[in-house]
Amino acid sequence: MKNFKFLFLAFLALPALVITGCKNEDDTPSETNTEVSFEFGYTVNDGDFQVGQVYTIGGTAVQIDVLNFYVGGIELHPEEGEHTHVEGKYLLVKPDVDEYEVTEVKSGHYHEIKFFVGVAPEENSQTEEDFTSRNADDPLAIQDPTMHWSWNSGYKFLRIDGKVDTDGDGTPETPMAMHLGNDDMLKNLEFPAHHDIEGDHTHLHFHFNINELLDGIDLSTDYSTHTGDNLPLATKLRDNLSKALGLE
Amino acid sequence: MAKKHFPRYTLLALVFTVLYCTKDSAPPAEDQPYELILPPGFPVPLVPEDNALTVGRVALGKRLFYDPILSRDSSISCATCHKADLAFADSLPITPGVEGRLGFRNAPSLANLAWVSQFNKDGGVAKLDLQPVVPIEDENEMDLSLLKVVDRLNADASYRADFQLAYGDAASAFYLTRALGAFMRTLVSGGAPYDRYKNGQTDALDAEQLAGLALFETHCSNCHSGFNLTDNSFQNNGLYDNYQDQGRKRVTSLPEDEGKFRVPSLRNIALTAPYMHDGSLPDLSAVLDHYTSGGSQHPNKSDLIQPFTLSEQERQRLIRFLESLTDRTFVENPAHRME
Repeated sequence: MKNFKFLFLAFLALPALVITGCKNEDDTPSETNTEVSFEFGYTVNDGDFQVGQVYTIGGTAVQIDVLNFYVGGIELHPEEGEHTHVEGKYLLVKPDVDEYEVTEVKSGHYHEIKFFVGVAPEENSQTEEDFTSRNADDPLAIQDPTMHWSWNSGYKFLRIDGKVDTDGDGTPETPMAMHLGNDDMLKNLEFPAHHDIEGDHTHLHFHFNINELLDGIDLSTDYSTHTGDNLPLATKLRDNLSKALGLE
Repeated sequence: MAKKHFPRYTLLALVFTVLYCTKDSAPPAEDQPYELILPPGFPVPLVPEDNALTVGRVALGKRLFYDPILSRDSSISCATCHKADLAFADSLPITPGVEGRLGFRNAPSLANLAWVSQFNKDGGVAKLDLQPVVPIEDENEMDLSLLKVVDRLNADASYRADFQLAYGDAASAFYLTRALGAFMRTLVSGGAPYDRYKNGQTDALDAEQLAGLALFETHCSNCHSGFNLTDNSFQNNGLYDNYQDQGRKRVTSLPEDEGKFRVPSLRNIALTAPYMHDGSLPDLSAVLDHYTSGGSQHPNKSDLIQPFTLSEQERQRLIRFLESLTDRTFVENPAHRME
């Protein structure tokens, strides 16, 4: 009976100890985490971009049916403390996708976001895992439309397909294909930020200005590259990415 | 004279205890290891851990190789461009793809790809198991996405059964490409008169061919060396002053790679005309004309390509030697053909 009383008292005391413990923790300021997602807003001629519509860009009528690109190597740099590198994470950015889950970071003020457009050499080489061996929900797996090269190992870092007007009648009729790949086409980008990443979820909104992407390119005459066969055009597109993409 | 029988070197190309690195593709229990027979002097090829050779996989790959189901309009198969009679090459400069579309390169022989590490004439593809993606998806060849091919295969009960036997799973892009890779690894050619001569049968080559061999070793074997008669390097052989097809530069973007193409094996060379990356030289005589001329003045041209002289007799001897590289046992092997 004596033992039973002891156990009864211990049973009553246990929740009190737990509650006390919780209270003590609550007194200490704790770190909270926030889910981060990216959004990419495609714009053209100061308005929202629509796939398949005809726009006049640089004086040439253009219809863009595909404008997809890979984002990887994402880093989020807080004002204080270690930055977060989102290891192995790739986003396949498309016009019709609203939001991309990125990672969870410590809540706080962040002053710089970095990522590259492209695929890192280790994944791009296809020597180990390749696009056929990846799970279907992996952005680096086979896509439709395809984002892998066939004749060349690796990925199309940026894929633009559509039509351009080459005869000047205002109607795009000539197939346009601009496919950037190869390791040296990878473009590192840095975005200064003044963003509080806090609460359960924070959206970081990037704009993607198609006029800037195609700036300096005469689309009526220069509308095809598979990188190696028209390196100047591929290089121009790669270099334009830094002004086409921006964090809002 | 009794025909000399050469030892058969065999490779049990399946090791059940290896760890599979990128994809678990251990063969189903009911499948059997495939015995790859290697000619004397051939090194054991590297077989990827995720695609060990089995009877089921090789049979599935062969079925796929000969099936036009891989092309958009079901009009052509791999065998349309790679004919067994021609050492798995073709007699046209450029073989038409679907709807008669023309690409820009000559179909190569598929012999001994198990010993190649960079595929296509420009080396753009890193492994044999990915090479089938090129013809399947190229708009001038089969023009069909891998995903659509897989849908077609999984809609066919007999293919579903074959994939189940070979890989223990339904068809996928991974298993499709691996099955074709498995079949291509079995296309081994090492039984030509030249091979018999190298392995001790002194009468395998006649006097004219032996004289041709000496000329070959003087003028050709810097690049066409080793058991597979290639050093697998990329060379500009001075075919043109201006290359429409940039060759390896297409892959590397490096100016110094313009006009460079992978040195091909010369095995079965007498069967694989026309020659060069674009099939522009119709016969072996034209090839000798090119090399004796010293080629173009392209800045990337190999230093080894220099003018030299061959008499008519020497030309004949060299061509006779090249004909001794024809392996009838390979060309006529029923295991490579679809009855």
